[in-house]
Amino acid sequence: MRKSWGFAEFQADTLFHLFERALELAGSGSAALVTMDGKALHVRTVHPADTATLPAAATQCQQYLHLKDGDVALINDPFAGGTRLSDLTLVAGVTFEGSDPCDVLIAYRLGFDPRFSLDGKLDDEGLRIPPMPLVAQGKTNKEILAAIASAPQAPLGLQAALEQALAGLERTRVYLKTCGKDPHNDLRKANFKKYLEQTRTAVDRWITKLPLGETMISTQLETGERLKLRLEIHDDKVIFDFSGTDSSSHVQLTDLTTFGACFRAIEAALGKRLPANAGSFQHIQVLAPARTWVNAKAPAATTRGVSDGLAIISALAMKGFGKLASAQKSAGSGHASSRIRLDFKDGRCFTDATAGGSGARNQTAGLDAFSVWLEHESRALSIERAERAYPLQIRSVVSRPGSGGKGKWAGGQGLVKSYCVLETARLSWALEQARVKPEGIDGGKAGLSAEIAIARSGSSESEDLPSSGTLELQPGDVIHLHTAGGGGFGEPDSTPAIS
Amino acid sequence: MPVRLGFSVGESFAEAIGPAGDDSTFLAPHRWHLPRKSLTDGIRDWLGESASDGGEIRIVSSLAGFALHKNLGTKPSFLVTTGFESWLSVNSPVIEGSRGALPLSDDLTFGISERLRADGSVETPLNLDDLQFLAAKLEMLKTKAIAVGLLHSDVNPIHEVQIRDYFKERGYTVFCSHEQTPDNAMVGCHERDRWLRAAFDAYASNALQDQKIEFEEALGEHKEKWTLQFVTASDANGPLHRGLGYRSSFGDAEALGTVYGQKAPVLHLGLEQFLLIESERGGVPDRDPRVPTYCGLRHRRLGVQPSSPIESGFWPAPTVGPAPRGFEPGPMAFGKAQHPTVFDVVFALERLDAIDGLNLQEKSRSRALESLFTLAKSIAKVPDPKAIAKDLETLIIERMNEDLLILGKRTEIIVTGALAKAFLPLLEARRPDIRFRLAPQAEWAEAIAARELPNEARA
Repeated sequence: MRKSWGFAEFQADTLFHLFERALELAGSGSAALVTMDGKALHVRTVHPADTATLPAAATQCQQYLHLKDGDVALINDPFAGGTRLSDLTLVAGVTFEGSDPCDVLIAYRLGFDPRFSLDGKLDDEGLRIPPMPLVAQGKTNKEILAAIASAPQAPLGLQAALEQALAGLERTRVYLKTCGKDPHNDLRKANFKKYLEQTRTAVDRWITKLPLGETMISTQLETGERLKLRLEIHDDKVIFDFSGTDSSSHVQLTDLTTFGACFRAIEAALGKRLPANAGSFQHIQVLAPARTWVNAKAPAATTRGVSDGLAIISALAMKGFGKLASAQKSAGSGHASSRIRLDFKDGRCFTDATAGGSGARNQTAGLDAFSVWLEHESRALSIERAERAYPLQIRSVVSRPGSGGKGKWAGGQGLVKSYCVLETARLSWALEQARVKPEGIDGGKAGLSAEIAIARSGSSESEDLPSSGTLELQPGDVIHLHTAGGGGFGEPDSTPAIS
Repeated sequence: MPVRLGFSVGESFAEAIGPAGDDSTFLAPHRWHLPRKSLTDGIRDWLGESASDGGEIRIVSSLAGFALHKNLGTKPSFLVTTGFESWLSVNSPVIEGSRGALPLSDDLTFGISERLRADGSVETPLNLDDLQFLAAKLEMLKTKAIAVGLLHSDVNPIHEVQIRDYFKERGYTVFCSHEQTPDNAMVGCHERDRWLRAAFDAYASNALQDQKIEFEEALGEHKEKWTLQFVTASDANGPLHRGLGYRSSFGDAEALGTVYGQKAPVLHLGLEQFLLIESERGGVPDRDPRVPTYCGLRHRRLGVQPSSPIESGFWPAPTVGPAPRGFEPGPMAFGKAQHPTVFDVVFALERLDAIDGLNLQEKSRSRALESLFTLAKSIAKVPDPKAIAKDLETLIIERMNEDLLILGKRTEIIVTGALAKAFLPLLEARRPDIRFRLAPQAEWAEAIAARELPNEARA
C-alpha cells in the first residue's frame, strides 16, 4: 500500500474496515476478533455489555479448549466472559494459512429473551454453560446441540439460531482466510500490535476533547442501594471510580459489563463511536470494588444488571460528563426498563422489557419509549411470536400521553402495554423509576414515573401494584404496564413544547 | 421480439440504452444531467421518431429512496389493528439521535377494529361499516396508496384480503402485509418487518407512479405502444431505505446488470452507485397495477460509493466516510458542493475526462484538489495535493477489494458502468489474480434485447 505522505494510519484505517466487514458477515449480533494472547482486536457491539465481555469469553474458550482452525466453542457463563445466561457466545478459531495454530479468534453473541430473577439467583435465569466444544475437526457435535436445546430452561428457537450463527461464523472465517492469503493485504499477525498501538495513540487525540477535571455523583436504585461514581478526566485517561457503591441482591453485573457501560458513556460524551479494541481500552480505568453491585461475583443473577444496571451506570456517567461540560447536559431519562415475567404452569416463561421515554437535551426533545441502553432488547418483542409461543394476548401498545416532562424541549413519552393471560400464571415484575420520577433539567419538568396495575378477569377496576413483586394470575387477568417518561429540558414557556 | 430499452434514473443523471440492430436510432447509449435537461425531455430527445415503434421499457429508479431520505414523497395511509397504531413508530431504529425515516404519518394511520388469535381464528370480526367511514376519510385526504398491517395476517389473511378488496374496488392501490413470498423470508417474521415492508411498498408506489407519468409524457401519443416496467432487486446489504434495516420490493436495483446472469459477478461502477451483483434471485410478484415491476438481481452495495465523503477520520488521516452524501448537491465536480467525495478524487486525478455527458467543470478540479489538501494539511504534513489524491485513490481501491474478497476465489469479474474505465487499471493492479472484463456497451445492449428475464410482470 502507498505511504507517500507518511500515513501509516492508512493501514490502520484499512484494517479497521476489513475487521468491520469480516464481522458483518457473521450476522447482526455483537462480534469480536481477539488475538491469541487475549487482546481485543475489534469489537462490534450491539449492546454495551458486550464490549469487554466478548474478548473475555473468547479467551476463556481458548484457554480450556485450545481451539484449532474451524473449531467452535459455546459459552454463556456471566462469570467467564458472558453477560447473562440468555446471551450465548460462540467462539471460533481461524488460521490465515494452513490449519494450526490459530491466528485469531472470532466471538459472536446471540441473545434470547432474558429471564430475570427477583431473588437474585443465577440458576433461575437459565442454564449455565461453561466453555463447551460445539464444532471440532469440521464436525458439529449434534448431541450437545440437541441436549442444550432440549433443556427445560432453553430459550425457544435455540437450535435454529445456533445453526444460523454457526453459518455466519463460517462466513467470517472464510473471509478472513481469503484476506489472509491476499499477498497485499495488511492482515498479518505482525501488524496487530502496531494496529493496537496506533489506535491507542489516535484515541489520545479524542480523549483530549473531553473536559479535564473530576466530579463526584451518585444515584440510587429503586430499592435504595447507592451507586457512587468519582469521574476523573485526565489528559490521556478517564477514571471511573465506583468506591462507596453498595451491594445489591437484585441488580448486579460483572466488572467487565461495567467497563462496557463506561466505554459507551465516553463515546456518548464524545458523540463518536471509537474503535473498541485493546488499544482504546487502555484509556479507561474502572475501579469497581468486589461485591458491590457493579462487580458482582458468582452466583449472582445478572439479567437486570446487564440492562437496567448498565443503563443506570451509563446515565450517571453521562451526568458526570454533563457536570464537567454543560454541552453534555441531559434531563433524566426513563432509561431503565419496566420488566415483567410470566411463568406458566407447563414451564414456559415469557419475559418482556419495555423502555421509558428518553430525557430531552438542549435543542433536542426526548424520544418516545427509547433507551439507547435497552434498544436491542426493547425492539425484540414480536407480538405475534409472543402470542404464538405463550398463552397470552397483548391487547395494546400505545404511547403514554403526558408522560414526557414538559420543557422548552419535551421529554419522550413512555409506553402503555396491556397483556392478558389466557392460562394460570405467576407474574413477576420489577420497575425502575417507579418511586423517583425522571428529573427535568434547567427548569424542565420531570417525566411521569413507571407504574403497573392489574385488572382481574370480570372486574372493571384495576389495582395498582408496588414496584416489584410476584402475583398469581388467572385466565383473563390483564396487566397494564406504564413506563416512565423522560424529563424535559429548559423552562416551558408560552410557546408550545417541541416534541 | 419487441425492442427493449433500459433506463437508469438516478438523482442527477439519467442513462438510456437500447439494442444494437438494423435500426441505428437505438445504437448510442445516452446519458444526460437531469438539472440541465428534464427526464421527459431527455427521453423524448433520445427516442426521437423511434417513439412510434413501440416496445418494452425497463426502468431502474432511485427516486423512491431519494424521496424517503429527503422526506419528499407522498405518505400512504396505514391501516393497522386497533391498539397498535404506534407500534411501528416506537419500533423503528434510532439513528444518530432520531427515529429512522418512516414512510408513515400519525395523521394517516388508522386503527381497524378486528382481532385474530395466534392460531388465525377470528376473535373480533372485521366490520365493513367501519371501512365505509374510513373510505370517506381517505377520500378527503386524497389518499392514493394504502398499506395494511394486521396482527396474525400471515397465518390467516382474511381481514387483510377483505380490506384490500374493499378499497381496490374503490380505486385505491393496496399493499397488504401478508402478500409476501417465502423467497423473501417474510413469513413468520417479526410483524414490524412485514408491516414496514407494506408501508414502504405503498410509499415507493406513490413515488414511482409519478415517474411513470413522466415516461408516459415523453412517449406522448405513442405511450400505448410501450410497456413500462420498474426493476426491483433483492439487495444483500440495503435496499432503498438503506441503513434502516427494512426491505421493500421496490429496491433500487441495477437493471442493466441483469444481462450477465450467473456467468460471473458484475461490478457495476455507475455514476451514482457502486454495486456488486452476485447472482440471480427469484421474484417478488407484481403488486401494483399502476407500476409494473419485476425482480432483478441480488446485489450488494460496496462500502465505498461515488458520493462517499472524504473526511477526517478517527485516525489522523483523511478517510472515506461511511455515509454516502447522495447527489444533491453531489460531488464538488458538479460545481455546487463544498466537500470532496470519492467521485472528486477520481475527477481530480483526471480519470473522468474521457467520459461523455458528465458536465464536469474544470475549475472544480482545482477546488477539489484544494479541499483535499486542506483536509490533509490540518491533520499531518503532506507533500502535494496530487499525492493526497493518489493515496486516497489507493484507499478507495482497498475498500473495493474488501467487497471483492467476499466473493472468495474468483477468476473473472465483469465491470460495467460509467466509471468502469476509470477504475479498471487500478483494480487490475490490485488484484492480478482476477480477470476484470470491461463490458462492451454493444454486448450489453444486445443482451438486453435478447434476454428473456425470469420474472416477467403479470401486467
